[in-house]
Amino acid sequence: MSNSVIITGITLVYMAIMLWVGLRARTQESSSLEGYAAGGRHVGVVVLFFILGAEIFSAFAFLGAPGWAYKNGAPAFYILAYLSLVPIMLWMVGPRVRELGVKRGYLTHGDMLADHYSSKPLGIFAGVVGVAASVPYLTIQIAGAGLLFSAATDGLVPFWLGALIALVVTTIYVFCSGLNGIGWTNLVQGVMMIAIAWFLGVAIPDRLYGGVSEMFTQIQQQAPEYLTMPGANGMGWGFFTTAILISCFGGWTWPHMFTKFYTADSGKSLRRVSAIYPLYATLLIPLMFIGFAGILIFADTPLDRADTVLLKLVIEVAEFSPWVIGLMLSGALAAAMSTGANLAHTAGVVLTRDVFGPTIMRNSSDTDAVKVTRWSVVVISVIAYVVALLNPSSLVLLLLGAFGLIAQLVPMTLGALFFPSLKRTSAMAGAAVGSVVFLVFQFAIDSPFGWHPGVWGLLANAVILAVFQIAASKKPETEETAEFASAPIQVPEAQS
Amino acid sequence: MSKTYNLLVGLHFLVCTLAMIWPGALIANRIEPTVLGIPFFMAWYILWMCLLFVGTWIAYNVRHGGNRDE
Repeated sequence: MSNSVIITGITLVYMAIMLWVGLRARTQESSSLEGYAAGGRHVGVVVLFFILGAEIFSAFAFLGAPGWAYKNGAPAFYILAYLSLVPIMLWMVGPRVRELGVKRGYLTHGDMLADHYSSKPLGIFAGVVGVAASVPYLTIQIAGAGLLFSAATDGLVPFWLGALIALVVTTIYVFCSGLNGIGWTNLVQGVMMIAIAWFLGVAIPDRLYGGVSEMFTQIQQQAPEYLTMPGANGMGWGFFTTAILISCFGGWTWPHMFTKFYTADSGKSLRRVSAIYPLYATLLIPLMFIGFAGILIFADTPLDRADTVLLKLVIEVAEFSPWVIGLMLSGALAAAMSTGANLAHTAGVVLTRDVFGPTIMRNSSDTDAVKVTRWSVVVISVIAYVVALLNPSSLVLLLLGAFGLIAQLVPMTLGALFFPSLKRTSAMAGAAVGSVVFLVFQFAIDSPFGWHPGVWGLLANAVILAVFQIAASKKPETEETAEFASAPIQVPEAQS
Repeated sequence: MSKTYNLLVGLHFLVCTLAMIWPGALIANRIEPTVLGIPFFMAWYILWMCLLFVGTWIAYNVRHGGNRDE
């Protein structure tokens, strides 16, 4: 019992520090939409590095990655691979997204698509899908925080309360400080995640096997199938490869990542962040060690849920002191809350800007937009909390579906960024067909060759897009394209 | 200069990606020899993580190093 009190105490101190850091970050700027949503577009390298690191490394990276290594072995390296490859898209598209954002006042993905293709419905569609993806993802972070609390404190802090504490703390600083609050808390959370992951990743193999090297030697003797592809459960190269490609080359259009390109103070900063980004990704190496450590320990009594492997090892097997367990809990909560705060913030901005902006809030002022965005953050967080308590089984399906659809916007987004000759009809036809193909292979029939359904969607998307584009170029200028070319440019609420 | 630069950076990204997926990763799919006690297949991923970092860092400095702007 007293152990649980120590663990809870450490974690509450950590929460209080987060709240303090988040609230201190509030500036005058937080009262304009550009300030609240994008930190006034002058976030520098260090904070940007930690925002992009901490938001991408969620509860999934901290608990799920060891879970994958424990359950499947080597196929878990797909997580290592795609998170290492994140900086490629950051390097290639980031500076251009930022440049257009400054020039034309964009704050979201929908802003850019709606303006470039002169189609308000397209912007609204991007907004709705963005919110639909963010809410279940946020729910998973909140539920993760609740589970962590109840497991680490042995039930002293129950699920509903743990989830509520995490939610209230993040919502307060996101509400008050906007992007600046997220930036500074992510910096602290990022440092904690890295330090705690490396500490545990070295200490657990050391306690249980006498070192990392010794651990791998024993696995090689007793269960060598875990150390190479196709792993313990026979994952094919097809899924492994396509999952890496879709996560890495489709993931940058996820709203919480895309909107961050607008926050950078320069394209040069984005390039610099992508150069040093792999330093953040190394955080996965110790997390993989922890998963591998579980393989022999739980060989006779396999865990029901693979993603509890880190918790079980730290709390039940390695017999760490309550101080270490408290720090572990704080580190894992940092992973869940840093992503959660970004998701709530982005969903609030996207909902207000892309969905309300062109519809019910057409003539509202900048001050009103900030107010509505703030309260949207609160409402979205409460919805996510209620959903976390109900825990519907369709949650993961909604998440997969919505993020899959966002990836289908990749070709038209690239068109808006780099290929002005891409026509609206081609882009939309490609996205529509790609979305249908993706949805069919995700939910209705098995994906051919076991590939990731999103890849089939993108292939269909690209083919249709090319066909329309070629067909259009053979015809002389049609009325529609002529009209598009001369359409008046509407800058959505450019900041004065 | 700019075209060659973009080509080289693109090539660097392509090689790093191919090394981590099929078919590039096939050649590393074994346990021996271990590297500092880590099985070869895992060490391969760590190696390419480092190479991606080194290559991108060089690319950054060539283009943006010193006081040069974008």
